[in-house]
Amino acid sequence: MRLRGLCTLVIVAVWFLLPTGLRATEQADLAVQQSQLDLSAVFERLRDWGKAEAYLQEAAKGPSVKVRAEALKGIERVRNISERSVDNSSLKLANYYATQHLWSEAEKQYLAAAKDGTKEVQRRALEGLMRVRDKIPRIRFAEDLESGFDIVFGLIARMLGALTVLAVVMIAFQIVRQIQRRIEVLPFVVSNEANQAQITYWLSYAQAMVQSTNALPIAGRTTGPSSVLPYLQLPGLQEKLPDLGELSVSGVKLPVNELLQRFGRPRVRISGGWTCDASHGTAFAQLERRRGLFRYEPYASIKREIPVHWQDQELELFAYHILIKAAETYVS
Amino acid sequence: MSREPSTSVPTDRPEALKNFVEGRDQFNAYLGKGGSGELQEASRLFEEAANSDPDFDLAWFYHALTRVELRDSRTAIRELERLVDKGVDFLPEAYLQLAYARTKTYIDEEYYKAEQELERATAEAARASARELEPVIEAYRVFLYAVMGGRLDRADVQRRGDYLDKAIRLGEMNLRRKLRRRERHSVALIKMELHNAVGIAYMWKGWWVAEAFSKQQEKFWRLASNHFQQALALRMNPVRVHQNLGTLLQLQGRQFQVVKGEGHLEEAEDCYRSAIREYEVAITLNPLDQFPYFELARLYARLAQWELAQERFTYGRLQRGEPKSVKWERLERAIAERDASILDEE
Repeated sequence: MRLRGLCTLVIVAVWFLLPTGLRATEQADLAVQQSQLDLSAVFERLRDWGKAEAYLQEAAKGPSVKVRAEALKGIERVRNISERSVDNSSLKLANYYATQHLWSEAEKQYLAAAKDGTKEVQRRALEGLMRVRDKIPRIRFAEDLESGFDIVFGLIARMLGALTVLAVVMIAFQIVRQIQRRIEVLPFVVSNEANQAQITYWLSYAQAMVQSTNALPIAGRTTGPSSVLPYLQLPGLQEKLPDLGELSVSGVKLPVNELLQRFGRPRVRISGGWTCDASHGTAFAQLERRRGLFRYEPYASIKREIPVHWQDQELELFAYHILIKAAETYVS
Repeated sequence: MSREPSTSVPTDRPEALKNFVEGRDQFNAYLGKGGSGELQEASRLFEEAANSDPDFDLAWFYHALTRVELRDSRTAIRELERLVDKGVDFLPEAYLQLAYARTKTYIDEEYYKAEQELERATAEAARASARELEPVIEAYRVFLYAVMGGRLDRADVQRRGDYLDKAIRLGEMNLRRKLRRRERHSVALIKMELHNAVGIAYMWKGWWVAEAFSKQQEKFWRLASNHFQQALALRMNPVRVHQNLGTLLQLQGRQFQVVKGEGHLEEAEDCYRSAIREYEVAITLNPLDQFPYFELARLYARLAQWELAQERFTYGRLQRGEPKSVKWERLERAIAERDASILDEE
């Protein structure tokens, strides 16, 4: 008894001997602990479970035993509520997706609910999962089909693209080949446009006559080679080339028309002139043969007197002479 | 890739080429419309082309074709023989035309030569891979057999019948055969030649082989007429088909006159008058051919229309043609003596 009394005396003495500042700190800690508990209550009302739990955890560390006990209970309560809330939201979301026939999304949400939810939520999530998975194989097939179509159409589009490029290249190649098989008559050097027109007319006439009558028919037969000469391109009557624009291959742009003009050079080139005065004239022509892709070399030349009184007859014969020499140059 | 066009110009003389292409233009017009003016002009232009350049083989060839059409087969044969000997690069066509020219002489020896030329044409066409010539060669072969069956002077009825049967069999087989794709008018020309030749074969079969006024003869002549009509439908103004129709009608008239005699002269005269119409059409289309003048003169003589007979006789003698001089002399005598029975003398 004497010892107990002595201890009490010591404690009381220590208490009274403690500095006043230390006692004030203890009072402040209690107030903070209480305010943390109050804040947690506010956030719990606001259904902000995370913040509410955080304040409760702080309150649980404070000096007051009573407040600490209350905070610990609060932590347990808030967490339960929050978990329940999370489970319910996944389930609700899954149900929503299921009503919208968004089966894949519904499946994901049901799986989330079944994994982390309460027992009741898990049961309902599993039921939903089974329901949804009944639907999913068909949907997956449709999705596979859709993606299959995408792949096939993608391939077709690429093939069409490749074919278009190939077609343009082939057309360009064919045009170049056609031009390379031609005989081109360049504008003649003449004193006036009328003379140029006359030369062109007689060349055109002679060509038309040769082309239309060169078949090798016999009585009752009109087959045979269709033409004696390749196409003769006359000045002012050039065939317009198709506009193939630019061809883009792997990002590189090819100027097709420029290439056509560069490589499409006729096999034979004819140039010439016609000089005349009041009574007399002379027509001449120079024939060149292409060697290789670009180079031309002279092959033959023609000269014919064109008296004014026999101008048409002589021009006609001059045109036939050009055709004969052009054919000879062509096969040289 | 399109085949590269041929570039061989067959002459190096501008004048020759000019005349040649203008000649071809005229000749094509003749083939299309059958006008004798175009044919004569074509012949002249080809001749000028050939004279400008004697080595211009194609011009000689076409000149020969026009000579055959103008009933001057002798000149054509001479020119074509020279081309064949020279070995021109269109030998199948040259042999074929040589065969045709020989056929059109209507002389027995020439028929056998024509048969050989057709064999050579076939061989050369095969060598040159000119398959498109095959139907033409066959058409000419049918024509040759039909002519041989009808006109071989020293042939018995059996031999005539054999040639005519060959012509009919071959002709109908070729008419059934589907020709390869080619120009439409070319197909028409070949078919026309075949119908004409088969018609000739039936016509002579009715005359030489079948009994007069028998069902068989009626059938042959009906078939002949059908073939001629089909030939007429296939080409504008085919002179030879009109002439053949005239010959068919004339044969029918002769039969009434010779076999049935006095009581059937009216039927005979009807046939003669129809025949006259056909020959007159032929003369309108080609006034340069001697044959229809000769036949008209004979028909008018049989109808005792002596002035008309004399007129046709006179015009006919001015033209070229195949009727032999002995026949002309007989006709001349008949007209002079106003005695149609002279025409039937052997």
